[in-house]
Amino acid sequence: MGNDMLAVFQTAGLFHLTPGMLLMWLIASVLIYLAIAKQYEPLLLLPIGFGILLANLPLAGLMEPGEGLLWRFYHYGIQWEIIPPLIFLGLGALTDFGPLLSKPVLIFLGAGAQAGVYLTFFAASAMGFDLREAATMGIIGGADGPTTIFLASKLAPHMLGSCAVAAYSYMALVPIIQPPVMRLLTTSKERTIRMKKGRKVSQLEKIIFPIVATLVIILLVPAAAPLIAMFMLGNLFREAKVVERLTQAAQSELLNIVTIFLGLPVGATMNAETFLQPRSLFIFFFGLFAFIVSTATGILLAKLMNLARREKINPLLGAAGVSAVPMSARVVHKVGSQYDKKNYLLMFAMGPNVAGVIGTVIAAGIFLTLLG
Amino acid sequence: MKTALQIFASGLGGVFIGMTLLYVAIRLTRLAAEALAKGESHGK
Repeated sequence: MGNDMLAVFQTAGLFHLTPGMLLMWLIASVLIYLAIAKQYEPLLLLPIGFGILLANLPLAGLMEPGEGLLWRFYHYGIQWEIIPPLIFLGLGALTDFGPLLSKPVLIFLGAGAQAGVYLTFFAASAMGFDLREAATMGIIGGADGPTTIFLASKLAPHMLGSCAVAAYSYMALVPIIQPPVMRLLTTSKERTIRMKKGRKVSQLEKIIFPIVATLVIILLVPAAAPLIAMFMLGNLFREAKVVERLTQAAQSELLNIVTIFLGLPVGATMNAETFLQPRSLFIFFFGLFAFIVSTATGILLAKLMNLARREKINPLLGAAGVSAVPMSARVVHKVGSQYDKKNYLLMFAMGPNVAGVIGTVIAAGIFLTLLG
Repeated sequence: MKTALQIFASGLGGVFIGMTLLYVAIRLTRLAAEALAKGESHGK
């Protein structure tokens, strides 16, 4: 009887708790609070927060390699490269390339914002980080959660959880992070530049584009194939208008299901031993740096392009070159309308915004090619 | 450090090359779509 009681106590997790685990509970609680009370990226931060909590329950074994439930989600879903591409299928089905096709020159703003990714990579490697870790921190500046997770799982799996939390947290904070950078780098006159209405894009163009873009990008950067292939397939579903059921499934049911299976195991990678390291602080610091620099380089490229263009671009649009669809486009519109209430920038900002998604995937593909 | 600089330059250059090719692809897509639409209207 006494021995049985002792065995029960010995296998009870309660007696195996560590201060680190309790601290991780606190972090999990903060994320769950932010998701529920503040609605900061709740679709991701809620399952991530709960995943952190589960991963820091002693003896539960949910992340036990080969056995744990969450480990299986992580291994087969993320390490096997299944979930991030499926998320991209859904995103493609939700994306309208119309604004980009209407004003194709705005595609370069999506490239300009990637300078922040590479500058952060360079800064992190100069600070002594391993090149693979530096690349993973840099990609946070692309403001694209699935791409960050995709790259981190390949190059620095030990940083996956922190990078994902940093990426989604900063994406939620776009309305706070971007406006000061936008105001700092533009004049009042530049902010009131009105864009000329773009031409009408035919449905045929919208159908051809995802096919052509798939060929161009994958032929150039084959490592980007899993993400780009699914992104463009989703978009083709949408634009073909003959597979409404598939479009609907990709946009909603499938996207929702894979979001659950993405957030939970990503959070579960954050156990006390791997997360409570000085490195995690650097990840959050460099993630923020990447975000700010990407915003700045997008704006500066727009200003540079204006030097050579007769039809000026509102440089605020450069800030939408970070992905964070559609949040950063909305922020651009909001800041622009503060200086000219009739300046409707939202549709124009969607062009660099979707170009930013493609740009970040290309940047990740190049990192994988060079460092994978 | 030298490797990091090389990756920085080739990576950023690669992104701009990729986006330039996409820009060209968008232009060609427009031309192709217009040609197809014209062909279709002639066929009617």
